[in-house]
Amino acid sequence: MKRLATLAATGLAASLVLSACSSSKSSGGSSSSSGSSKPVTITLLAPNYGSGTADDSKNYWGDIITAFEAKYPNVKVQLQEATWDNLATKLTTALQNNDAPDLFEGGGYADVAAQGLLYKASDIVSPQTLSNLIPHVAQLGQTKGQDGQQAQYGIPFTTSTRAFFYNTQLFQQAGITTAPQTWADVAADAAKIKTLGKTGFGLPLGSEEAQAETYLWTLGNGGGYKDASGKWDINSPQNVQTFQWLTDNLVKPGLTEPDPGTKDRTDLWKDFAAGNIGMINGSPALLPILKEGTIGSNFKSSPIPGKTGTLSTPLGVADFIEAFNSHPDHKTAIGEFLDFALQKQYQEKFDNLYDLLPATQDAAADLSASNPALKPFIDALPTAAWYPSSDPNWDPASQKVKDIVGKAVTSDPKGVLDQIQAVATASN
Amino acid sequence: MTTHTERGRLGRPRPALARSVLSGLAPLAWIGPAIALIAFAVLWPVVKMVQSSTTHWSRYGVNLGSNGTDNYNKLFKEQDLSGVLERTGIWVVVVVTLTMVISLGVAQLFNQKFPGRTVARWALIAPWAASVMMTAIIFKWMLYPGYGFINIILNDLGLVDRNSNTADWLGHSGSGFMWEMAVAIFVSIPFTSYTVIAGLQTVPAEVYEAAKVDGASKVRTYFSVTLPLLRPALLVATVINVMNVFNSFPIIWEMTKGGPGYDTATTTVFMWILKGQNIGESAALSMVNFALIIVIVFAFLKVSKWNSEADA
Repeated sequence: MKRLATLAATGLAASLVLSACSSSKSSGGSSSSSGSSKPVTITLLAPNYGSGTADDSKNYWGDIITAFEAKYPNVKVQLQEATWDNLATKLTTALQNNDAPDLFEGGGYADVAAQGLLYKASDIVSPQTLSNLIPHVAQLGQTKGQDGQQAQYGIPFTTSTRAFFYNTQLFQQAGITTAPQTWADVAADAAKIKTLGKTGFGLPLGSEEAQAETYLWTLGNGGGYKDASGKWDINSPQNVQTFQWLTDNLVKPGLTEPDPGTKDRTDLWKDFAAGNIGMINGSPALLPILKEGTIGSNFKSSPIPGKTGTLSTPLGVADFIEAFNSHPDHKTAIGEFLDFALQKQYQEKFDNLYDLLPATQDAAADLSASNPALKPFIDALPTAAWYPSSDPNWDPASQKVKDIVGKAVTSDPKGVLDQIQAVATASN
Repeated sequence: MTTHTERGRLGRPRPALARSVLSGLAPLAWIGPAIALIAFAVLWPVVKMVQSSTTHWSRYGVNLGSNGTDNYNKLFKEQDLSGVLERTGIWVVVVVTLTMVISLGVAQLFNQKFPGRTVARWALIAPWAASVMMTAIIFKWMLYPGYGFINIILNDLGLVDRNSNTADWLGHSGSGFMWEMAVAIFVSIPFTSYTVIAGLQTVPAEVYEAAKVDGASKVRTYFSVTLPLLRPALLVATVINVMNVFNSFPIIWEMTKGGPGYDTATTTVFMWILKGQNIGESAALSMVNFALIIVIVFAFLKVSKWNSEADA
């Protein structure tokens, strides 16, 4: 029996290593007092918007941080970078381990705000910075806090709108003369491109940004995430029909890349830039990837096709900055850094680097004049359709979309959408 | 102990009581550290795990009080759970069985004398020494459709068109899971083979001579002499492999993240995915995992009568 007991104990210990690790907690931050007279180190968790070493977002933030630290010698800023596909997981894990960053850029904010983990924007940044934000984008950052009061928690940092991109060379070879206007056009054109041995349509329904692709397609059929009255409506008949159409007309006939449910946006964009894909939905962030690819100038963008005609409202995406209140002594420093980082020059630098759009008014005005390629996108911002990001259930719901929506084009779409709807409507 | 105390009360001098208590506690000095270690590293986490699984957590880890069996109810209602459990069973059985069978052969080979044996034995360590995550990522890229190394080879051999749907191995749940099992076997073989080699080296030469004298064939010798004598080594290797493979996480996570959907997730991977959505439910699943691994290991030990040799 002795050996049995030893073996059992070993087994017990081995199987517990995982749980033991995950229950360890960090001891929190430094205990220096408030104000920037004493040195503090604040942390910033941000995604990498770049696609190579040259345009790595580390460099962008690095320049801001160097300039900021020169002006505020008592504040150090530590940058943690994540890739888009694990950004949300990284934040969740950090929060669960009591190790929240001071600043987080890139994702939703509503459910953390509802739990009282965030500073109100007005508590940290200056009134000038706040009033400089593009008003209707700033409005998207408002949600109910733990106190039940509506307030600005998400501070928009960058925005983008989506457009439809196609490879003009492939279109020409396939004998297609105009950009597709409807879904039926997309399917017909994709079939022609397939005969050239290329992928007709790039459909990224993998975990990286499936929520965007889903939204673009469902908007095209009068659907979306919520209905007109603001209720979650993910499993609506229109949405089910949308995925059924995708399954029957693009995926099953092999007009997309293989297994779209597991393919990510960045990989497909690179493939499009290499001239292997005929059509794809993109954001301005696709432009720098195209510059690196072999496609040259053989591409064009046009409005996104819907079921019966192009979308009247383009999808707008705003990435927010949120400030966590876990280190009260960092509050002043956080505000100083945000005021500094949201200056016009840095907004413009970011937008010129990644071809994304600004979140502040002075940068928008400047860029409309100085970067004509961005002007139509900037002009389209006021009419855009946005994610329901001020709903606290948006974060879990969009995570569920990333997890499983890819299966909606291989199995029963209704069942998959029902599961997402259940997460979106669950009470927390 | 009771009798001691009673006798103490009956008028024995106090120092004697103290001395007997002290001498009773003496062994504690030797077993104390071990008990403390087990309490800290084994029992305390179990208590914490039970607590977590009956607690309502916010998505970001704020404790919202106890909620009884809600987490378990929610877990058992997950429509993906049955598939995940079934897959975990297949994963453990296939990976461990094939690992053991292949390792027996590898060990037999490496136990022979041949030129370069030392180098070959060192090379066998490589998959073991390399980070499992790294191995998984390398396999993922070797399986990349179009220009992955494995696909290029299969393409040149005329087996698979490297640009076809088939070449997208990790895109479908069936072939993706198969490759993940292959990688799991690949990284399990070194440890298992070394355990078996160690076992082979304990088999005395005389028994083989005796078998030869009795005129036993090679096959007969292997099955009637070698294998029975390898039993202790095989048992240890199997039990450790079962636990390792059951808890294996990095291979599946790196290669498919459990997708498409959750179609290549085992319980460990599913537990991690759930943790991002509902910590309590994830803790409930880790309790289920914990119970499963204990049941599996004990059932295996029972069936294999692992200590019968010691008792005989």
